[in-house]
Amino acid sequence: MKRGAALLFMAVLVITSVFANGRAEEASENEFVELKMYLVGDTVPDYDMMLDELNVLMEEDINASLDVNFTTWVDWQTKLRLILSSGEKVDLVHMAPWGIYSEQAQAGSLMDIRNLAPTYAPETWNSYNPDILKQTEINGGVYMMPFRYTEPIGQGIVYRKDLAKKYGINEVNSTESLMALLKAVHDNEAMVPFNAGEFDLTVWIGMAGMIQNSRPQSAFKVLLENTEGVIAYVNYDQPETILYDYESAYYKETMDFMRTMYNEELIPRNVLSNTIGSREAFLAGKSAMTTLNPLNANEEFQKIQNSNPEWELGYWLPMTTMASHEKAPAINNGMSIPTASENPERALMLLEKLHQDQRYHDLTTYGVQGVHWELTSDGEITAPQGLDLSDSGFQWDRPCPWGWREEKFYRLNVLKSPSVWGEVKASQETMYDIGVERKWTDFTFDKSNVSTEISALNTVRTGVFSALSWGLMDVEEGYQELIDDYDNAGIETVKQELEDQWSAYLAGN
Amino acid sequence: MKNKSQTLLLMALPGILYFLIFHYIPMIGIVLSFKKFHPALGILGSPWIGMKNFEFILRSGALGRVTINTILYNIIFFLTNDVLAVFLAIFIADMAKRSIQKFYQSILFLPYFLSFVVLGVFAYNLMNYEYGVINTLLQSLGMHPVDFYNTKGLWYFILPLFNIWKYVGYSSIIYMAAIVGIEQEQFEAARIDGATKWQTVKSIVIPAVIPTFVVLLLFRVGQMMRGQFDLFYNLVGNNSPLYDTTDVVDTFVFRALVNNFDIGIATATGFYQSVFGLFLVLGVNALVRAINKENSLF
Amino acid sequence: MMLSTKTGMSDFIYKLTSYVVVTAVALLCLLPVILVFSASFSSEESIYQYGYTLFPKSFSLEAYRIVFESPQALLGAYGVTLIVTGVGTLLGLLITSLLAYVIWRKDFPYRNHLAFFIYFTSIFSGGLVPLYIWIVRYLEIKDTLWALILPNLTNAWNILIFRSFLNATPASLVEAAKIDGAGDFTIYRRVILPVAIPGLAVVGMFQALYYWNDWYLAKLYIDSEHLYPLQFFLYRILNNLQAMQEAIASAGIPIPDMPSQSLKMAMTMLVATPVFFLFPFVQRFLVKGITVGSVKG
Repeated sequence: MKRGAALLFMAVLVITSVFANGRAEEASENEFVELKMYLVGDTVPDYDMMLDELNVLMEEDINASLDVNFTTWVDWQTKLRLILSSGEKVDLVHMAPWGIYSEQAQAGSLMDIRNLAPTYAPETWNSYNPDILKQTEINGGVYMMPFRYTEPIGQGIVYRKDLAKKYGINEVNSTESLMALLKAVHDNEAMVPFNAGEFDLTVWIGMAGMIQNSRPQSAFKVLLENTEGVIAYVNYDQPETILYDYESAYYKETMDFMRTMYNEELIPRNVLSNTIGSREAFLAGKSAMTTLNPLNANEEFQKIQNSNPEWELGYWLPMTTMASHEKAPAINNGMSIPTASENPERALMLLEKLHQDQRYHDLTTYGVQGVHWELTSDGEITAPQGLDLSDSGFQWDRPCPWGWREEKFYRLNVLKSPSVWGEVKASQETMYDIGVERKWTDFTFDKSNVSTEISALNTVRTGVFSALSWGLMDVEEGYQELIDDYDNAGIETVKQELEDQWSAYLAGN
Repeated sequence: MKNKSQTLLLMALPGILYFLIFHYIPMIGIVLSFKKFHPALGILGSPWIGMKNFEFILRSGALGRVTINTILYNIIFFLTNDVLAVFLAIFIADMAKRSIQKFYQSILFLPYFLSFVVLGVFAYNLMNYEYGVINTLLQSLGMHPVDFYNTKGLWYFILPLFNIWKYVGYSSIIYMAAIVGIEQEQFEAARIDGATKWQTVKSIVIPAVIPTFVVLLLFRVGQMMRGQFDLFYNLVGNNSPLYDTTDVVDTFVFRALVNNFDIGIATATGFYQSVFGLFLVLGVNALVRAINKENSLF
Repeated sequence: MMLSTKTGMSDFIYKLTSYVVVTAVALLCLLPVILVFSASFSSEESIYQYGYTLFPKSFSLEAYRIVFESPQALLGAYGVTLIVTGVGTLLGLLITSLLAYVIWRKDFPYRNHLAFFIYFTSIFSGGLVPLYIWIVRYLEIKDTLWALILPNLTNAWNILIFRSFLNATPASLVEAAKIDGAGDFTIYRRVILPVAIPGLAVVGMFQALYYWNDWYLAKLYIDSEHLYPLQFFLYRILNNLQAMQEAIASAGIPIPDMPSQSLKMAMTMLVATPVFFLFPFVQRFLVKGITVGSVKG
């Protein structure tokens, strides 16, 4: 036993000395470096072909090359968190408020770039609207270079309009017409009307709330949310009162709605175990609807239409019926430099090029000119002769170039592009019309005092919450269980903390 | 004397180094159970928060459930899989032709090559409500379909079944080795005494297999609190209505990590797993030692 | 006479029972494999319509055609897995057998401590994150084949099994060698290893199977696609249409046109079948090894 103890002690010594090591010295400014970048999602087959061209430019311009890794969508959050919290030597990562930006900035794994950016990315940095930079602020620091683009917003439903018409429904534009379509499909077609699966778990739960009649009808700000959805928010016209999603009328309405879907067999009974998502089923003609983000709706639409010319597709963006809606965050995507990076200067120099040099932007966004895209005589982007866009080796805008998108360079603007799918364009125009400027953008809920409770809350949401959200439980019974679980998790403590912070914030503004 | 053990120590050195580097050094991470991990501060620099992480585990209310499930499933798995494996090994070892033995062994081993990821996809196809193979069959026989993924109790059968399916061939090979090691003379003698096959199995084969069985049992006890993540995760996944009967410590830790990325909590749960496992092993080992010193682990 | 008929009857029942039980379990094991196999030859339509069936409802070679048109990614993954399995198994066997031998030697004064030192690791672990940090930042083997090989070179379980094989070796062998003046290492190499072949075969097979089936290490530590091992390659395809399209990139099939269900099953078959066919060879060695070990008289 003594021996074992001695060995253990030795191990402890080794570790302490190693873990205590400091950061290696930084590469000097004129030395050639290889930058390492992590992007979210999946790559495209021809990414390396593009990267070879980019590296030629980079070597000439900033004496560096770039190595890009993708996280894949399957577990991108865990992967990014591991990379960042382990202090891996990575120079650039894609960051977004819909991802883990504020969490990681607060945890100290991202670099505050206020000192370096004016020197190494001056043009980009100096041209940011101060409002935008304010939105990126976390406890006074700026941890990302945001993109510069107003993104389409919302989450929509794409459905088989040909089937809808067959059963006398002209258009799906309400909960009622959606239900009518799904029921008709259930009774007459050999498919599960909304053939949902794992793919839909995160997206649909939010969507289902959005199509309820009692949901908020005008702009609101989300104060607390997690991967499963919103927890607390305030209405723009009444910021003093914090509202809680699970206490609201539309929350119960949503549960009832989903219970009906479940009982009437409009969704698969075993949706939580289904590894085939509704998108896949929809493409195979085995689902009458799926969800579709307006961001890539156009591209998906064209692909589906090409493969199934006999189908007619419809698109419904439920948020368009709201009286007002807050605009998409101006910082909805961006790039951050991890604290562990050894080349933050060079990383910023690359960002400067990506933001300011159209060649960099075009390469990373559309691929190699002549192979993956071409320009028409009037400057529109188009597929080269003989290339079917849906089997291109570099799908436009797909491999996460969003972190450095620039309005002035971007060629696929849904509102400006003439070839866009009419229904998507119309919905985006509406969203634009009802969009209001975001308020209170520099408020971030500091969770450090209630982190245990927040963790417990998240656990509840993967338990009874998801079962309720898919109608798998009796509503009354399940709701009571949910409330009990929330109480046990300490929701009152979280509420108190949030209310304190929020009222302090309001008082200070 | 001194010199001799030095050579032996030297021979053990690569292995000792391996365990030090890949097991003992990372064990320093256990301190995170009592800390709030802060990436910028590192493992040692992160602030101490006492028992707060353990508080979460208690607060989540799942601790009792996952502990009981873990133990229960391990017992069921051991009893079903290993007992069946012993008998399969006995039966196969007794088959007349080597080629037949090999044929059966190969087939029993087949599922081991299909990963659990495939198994999960496959299980859904077999058991889903709308067009699963089983339910299609039931309906064609005029019976009601069964909602497997929403019926908690059934999983006490489904999971062991898949576990057997995947591992029984693998386990039977180990027992097979023990049986083949039995000296032929013993069988000869039994036959001359006019013993039936059943009697031979009972008096010769089973006693020969028992030491292996005990070693495996001991080992399983130590591993009881962890392992089998693949099986539970791929078959049950996010299906929370089943958690009452299918959530084990491993899946619980996994969700703590994936949903919250709360490293402190995940480590604290892991620590609980380890301590609980250690006590189980020490207990069972002492018991085995009391009965038969040779069979104990250490 | 009476007695022997009774014995005969009883033995007949024994035989019958044994064949029935073994055959039933074998069928249970075979069934899912057949269903997957059949699905890989089914048309996409029929999988959505009928699920998996024993025989394809409408036969289609489409999935295999697509994979064979663009096999590079699959072959690359095969290469990675072969290297990892080969190197890992050999290194692992060396370490395992050395450790097992040392703790088996009754005259080694620290054998119990060492056994506990090894066994302890199967109960206690520091968790995922510290190991990750350690491997990525200090050992710096992320995104290399070492990250797939080293973390699981051996484990308490394998050492234990190997030691139990050694237990069957008479200690007198060691004594005799010692009298002949052989050193500890020579005894290990010349005396122990040859008699321990069955043990090496069994543990080697476990180790090889572990490497062959592992996908989790790749998920954590591998970023470069050309270093994806087989099972991780499959894992990604099963979980992700995009990854599927990548895997068969040069076939140039747009996602909406991909027969994704049958493709998944075809990939599964292509990943698993070569081992199915390899197994009988390993098995021959295994059975031989075990038998050799038992003829110790």
